[in-house]
Amino acid sequence: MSSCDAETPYGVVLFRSVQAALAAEKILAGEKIAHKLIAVPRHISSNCGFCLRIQWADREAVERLLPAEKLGVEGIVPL
Amino acid sequence: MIYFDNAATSWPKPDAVPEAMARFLRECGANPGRSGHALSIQAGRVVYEARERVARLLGLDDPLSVAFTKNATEALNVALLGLLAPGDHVITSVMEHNSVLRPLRHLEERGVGVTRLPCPEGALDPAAVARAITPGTRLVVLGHASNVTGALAPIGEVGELARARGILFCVDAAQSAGCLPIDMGAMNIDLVAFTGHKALYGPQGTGGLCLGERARGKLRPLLRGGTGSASDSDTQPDFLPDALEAGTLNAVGIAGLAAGLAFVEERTVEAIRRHELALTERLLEGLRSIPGARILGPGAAARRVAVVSFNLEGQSCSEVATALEERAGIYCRAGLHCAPLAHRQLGTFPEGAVRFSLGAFNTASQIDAALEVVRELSVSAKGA
Ligand SMILES: Cc1ncc(COP(=O)(O)O)c(C=O)c1O
Repeated sequence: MSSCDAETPYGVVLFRSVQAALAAEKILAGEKIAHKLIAVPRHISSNCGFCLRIQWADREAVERLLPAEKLGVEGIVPL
Repeated sequence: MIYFDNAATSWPKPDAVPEAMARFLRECGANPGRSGHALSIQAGRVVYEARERVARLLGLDDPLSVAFTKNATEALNVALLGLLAPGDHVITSVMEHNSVLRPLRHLEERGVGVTRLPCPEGALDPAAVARAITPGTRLVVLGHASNVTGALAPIGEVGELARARGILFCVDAAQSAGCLPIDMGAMNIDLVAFTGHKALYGPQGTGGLCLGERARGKLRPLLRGGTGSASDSDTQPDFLPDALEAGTLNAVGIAGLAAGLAFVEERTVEAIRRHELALTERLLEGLRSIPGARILGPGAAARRVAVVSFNLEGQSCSEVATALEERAGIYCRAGLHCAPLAHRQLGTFPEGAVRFSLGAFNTASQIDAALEVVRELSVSAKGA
């Protein structure tokens, strides 16, 4: 669970289900992509679950790695 | 003490099971997936890992399609009540546990057509399933292994048949998950109901329903409520596992279940099966040599799980069970085993039978000791 550099602009991957966010976490950990599970920021969504914070620069790699339909990825947005 | 009641609940558990539960409560017992803080995330990870282990063990392609329940009974209710509507037809067998029979009786009273196939000598003929199919048949539901005779149902043949006819196939794996290989993909099984506290060596209060691709999106949930996701909506989510998991899960139980699953995975289902098969053969052989012992179900151990029910001539099953406990500390189960139609089929209703059910921790010397006592009891009955 690598944290991102404080200087780096972040994005968050939103999921419809909390358990899918945990599934995605394992995929990114396996691929050694920096990420952290955090509570969904209220200004982004009022969903009470988790989302995955990633480095914005990694978003294309993340998009490729996560099976969007199976995991119910609802979007990758800047933080 | 000799514990021969593993088909009711396995005991003892691997040490890792209570340890995992204590660790969960001490170190990360927060609400899995409700809050987004570190403890909640850690609890969520424990639950997700258990999903992965279940999916791997049962040959399910997607861990998110494992919905946890409190036992196999709840899983079967979720499947049967969720899927069947008035006008639908469902095929089952008389060998089923009440956890299948009672929900089906309830549905029948509400307009679902139910065919309960007879099983002469406890064996189901797949051709009888084929003959029972009607244009309205939506589902076939069968126990993988009988909790009365241990007999294996022809799951492979029925799966193929159901798939070819476009009918969903649900398997009650309460007596098989963990001690018999199951591969939902290869066996054409659409729904598996499992329980955590038997051959998966987890605690009571755990179980679940696995949904293959064809079953997804087809179940009306039994319960609706909070899931930690989609909190902005007051409508129950339609995606798995949330759709079928309203309310806080038994996460401490699931932590224990994950440890039980790890135990099974480490030993391997195949090795556990070999161990239980050898014990079952020894038990069957010994019982056959006891005059007046009548064994229910198949003669060959290979056609059953490690469940052997029998009666002694001239004695009630409850007398035998009490004597086994009082003389030698042998714990087993006598009676009807929540399977009234199976005992009717086998000619042992309403009296029932004595059931020995074995697990990974039983030994050959326990089998020999129990056989010795059964032999004494049979002799004393003759002398009486
Ligand atoms: C064949 C069978 N199905 C279902 C069940 C129900 O399991 P549970 O009591 O865990 O709901 C049992 C055992 O009790 C069983 O033996």
